[in-house]
Amino acid sequence: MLKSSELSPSAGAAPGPGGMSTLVRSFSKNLQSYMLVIALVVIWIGFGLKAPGYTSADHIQDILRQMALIGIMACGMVFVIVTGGIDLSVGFGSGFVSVFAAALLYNGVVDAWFDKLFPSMGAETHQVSTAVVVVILSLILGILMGAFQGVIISRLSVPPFIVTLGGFSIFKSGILIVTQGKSLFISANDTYKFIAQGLIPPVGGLLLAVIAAVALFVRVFRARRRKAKYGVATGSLVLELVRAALFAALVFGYVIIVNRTFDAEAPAESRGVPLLVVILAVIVILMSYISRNTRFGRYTYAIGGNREAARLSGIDIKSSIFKVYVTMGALMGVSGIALAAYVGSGTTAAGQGYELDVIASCILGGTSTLGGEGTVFGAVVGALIIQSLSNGLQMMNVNSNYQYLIKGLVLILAVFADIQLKKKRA
Amino acid sequence: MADDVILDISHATKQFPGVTALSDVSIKVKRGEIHGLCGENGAGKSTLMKILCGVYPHGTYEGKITYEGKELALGTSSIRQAIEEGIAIVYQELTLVPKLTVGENIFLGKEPRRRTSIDWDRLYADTGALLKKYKLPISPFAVVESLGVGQMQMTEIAKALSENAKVLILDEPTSALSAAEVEKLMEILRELKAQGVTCLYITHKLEEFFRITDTVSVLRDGKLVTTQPTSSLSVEKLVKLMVGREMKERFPKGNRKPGAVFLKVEDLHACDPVNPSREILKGVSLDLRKGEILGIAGLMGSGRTELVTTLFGEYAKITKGRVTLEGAELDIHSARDAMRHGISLVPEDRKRMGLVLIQSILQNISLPNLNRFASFMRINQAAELSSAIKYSNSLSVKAPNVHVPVESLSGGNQQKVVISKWLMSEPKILILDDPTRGIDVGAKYEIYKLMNQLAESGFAIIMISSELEEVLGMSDRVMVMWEGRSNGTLEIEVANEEKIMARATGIELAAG
Repeated sequence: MLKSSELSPSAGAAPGPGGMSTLVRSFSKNLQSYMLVIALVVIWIGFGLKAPGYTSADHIQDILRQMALIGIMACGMVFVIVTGGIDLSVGFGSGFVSVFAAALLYNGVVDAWFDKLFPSMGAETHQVSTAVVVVILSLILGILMGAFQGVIISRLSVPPFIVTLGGFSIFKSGILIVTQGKSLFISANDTYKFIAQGLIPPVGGLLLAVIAAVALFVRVFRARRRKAKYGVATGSLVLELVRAALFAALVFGYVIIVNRTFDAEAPAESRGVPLLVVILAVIVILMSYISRNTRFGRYTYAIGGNREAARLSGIDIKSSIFKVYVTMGALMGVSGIALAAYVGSGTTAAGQGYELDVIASCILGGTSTLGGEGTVFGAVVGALIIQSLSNGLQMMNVNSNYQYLIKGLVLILAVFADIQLKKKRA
Repeated sequence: MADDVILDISHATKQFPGVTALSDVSIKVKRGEIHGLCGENGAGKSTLMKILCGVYPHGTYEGKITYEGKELALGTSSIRQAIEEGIAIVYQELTLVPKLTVGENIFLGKEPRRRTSIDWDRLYADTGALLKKYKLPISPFAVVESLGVGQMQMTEIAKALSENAKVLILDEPTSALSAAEVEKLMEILRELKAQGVTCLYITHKLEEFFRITDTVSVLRDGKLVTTQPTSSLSVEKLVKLMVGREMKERFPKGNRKPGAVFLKVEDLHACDPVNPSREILKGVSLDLRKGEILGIAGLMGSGRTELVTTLFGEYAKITKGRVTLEGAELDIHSARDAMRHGISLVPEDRKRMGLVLIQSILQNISLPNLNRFASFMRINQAAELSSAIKYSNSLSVKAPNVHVPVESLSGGNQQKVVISKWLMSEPKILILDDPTRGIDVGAKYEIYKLMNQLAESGFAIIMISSELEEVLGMSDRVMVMWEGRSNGTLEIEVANEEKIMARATGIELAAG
């Protein structure tokens, strides 16, 4: 206390060169990216006060698992929208994959193969092998679905809006044909359901959190070292460290809450990070890496930014666009696999309406519908915002008739705010 | 009344946060004169124009503008108000709707009505009368996208005049026009002048001031340097006034020693990819030697750009003829093929074809070259960064760092980024399609110097240019195109403007 009163006001205002003022400047420059986080915080505080159980460990554990189905596909949709395209088929597409997987398990097709090939296999190995084969087949199906649409879009030059609108209808029909109007329950295979319903042991969660935190800090220093080596101006170290520390704290906080570390009475089977959340995290990191650090990613952004310039730079546009839809298909597959495991069945309405949430996530996350701009990370935060909003409205018992109204208004408002912010900056 | 001043700009100052774009500028424009406005990029020409036509309304600038004896105080709906006052502007980028007719474009937003519907008969009759009055040879019914650039410009001018403009501002009207179209525009301006319309004329092509203007005002760094009758000036004087220092020559002397023939094009034919029955290249032959700059001259529509984009594999299919590189026949079908053979193209329109404007300098420079930094799953970002910095420094791109988006750079610096990107691909042949279009004198000079250096170090360079002086100033030989054909190649010692124009217009034909 004494010390701070001895300091002159000017010294207090400016701690060293490029201290506080740089922080403020850098903050206002990045206002747009912070807006998302601010919006998220506001939503959580609001619902935390109004909706009972919103900030409970149960809900926190659940919400990330729920958003994963959307979040996984949003990672691919960013690429699609960045090229200036759109994919309307992802909802029923993932639904189709989910009923395909459910049908394989329900009818025991894969089980029958194993019975025939390895009659002496133990029950548990049998179950795990079946689950693995179903996952692989479903993933292949997703990739093929993406490739089918990708070929038509890239080679035959039919606009993505039309092709995927067709895909929307085709996959919907596929769902109805496979299910024949019934729900296909996955009752016999718990291993498969573990994909979406399972929790990883508390120690594992902590370990992953430590790895994530170390990686975050290492990244900050490595990027700065590289920039310094080539004389490129680096931003404020303090700001970057604060950001990394905040993010690490979030990860740890989440792990501690879902591990229920300080809740001695919680049952053991409720402790742990959902496996699906880890899958989502891996996909986010992978896709984010691809978007920035590979040729494919860079070509995608260049094509969206200026297709003509990209073409004259020797980029194979058709093959890049094709790859984008194949990637989308693969993620549609992952999401479909998780969907079947999450619901424990393949249903006739599987995946219905997901495409709108996925697209909205990307737009909320700052992906430009004009192409060329957008981040994977933003899209996932967008997905979390949408999920937080839906859950909150549900938990407050808002009539479901009004929930879509509110979500729609929020989307429009968010894009309006984004446009205003951009105008101000320019 | 020779001293009748229609527009009196007095002590105009316009500040933006951190920059003074215009500082205490006073210009008097006389009624009925063509008043040239001259200055490098960033000299303040555009700012001044924007004040006059209401983009910056009254009160956002200091100083006083008197128009027709009254103070011009444009309010909030100021652009509309400026037009109603009779001040109209024709922008460098055309603002017509391509799918609509000339008449519809001219009366867009002010269509004559009969009760609730548009009175089409009157609209086209009025358009016809307007076009006739100013002797503009276009049909009111022509769809704009079917017109040539020159005719589009005329439509734009007619649109401006349709509101009884007394002052017409032309912002670089000739940057996309061929020599013949420029001549036509000059005629129109003389006609307008005869009818009492006052013109403010902005251009980067200095010769044009001497062809058309009565008075020239020179701006530099936001300040007025001088206003003088054109008759008392010369190109050299003008350059000196603009740049503020003596520029001994507009084209730097090179020390080039052209070597053996490197690329040979023989009797090349190609068809329009959209309309394959139309042949656009009807027999083009050329030789390109190592270490030389080959100029390609020709009117707009003569097939210059089509020729180089076809050589680059990105336009038309070659239907007949041969392209050989050091004796080996080339078969190029895409930009990638061309790059593999060491051919690079700096395209005509850098914003539309050369750059991804929202991306950084680094990303733009490395775009065609990522293969040299990347393995399957990883781009070596350290190598990419150091290489991008190397090229951007060696071309002295002026920017805070290589991470700023190229849209924030000036035209000259953007062009340097496009050239950097192609130099990084280590080509042997560099094709430059109108490399100095819309760039100021200083930046042009730097690009010329760069071309000299490159040719001296053994590059073979093809340069297309719309400016004859540039072709004559920079080339070792000049190939002239006429209606999709090569109409002879002139050695620079014997080439002059008359000879090139005679070939470009087909008055004189090459032997054979």
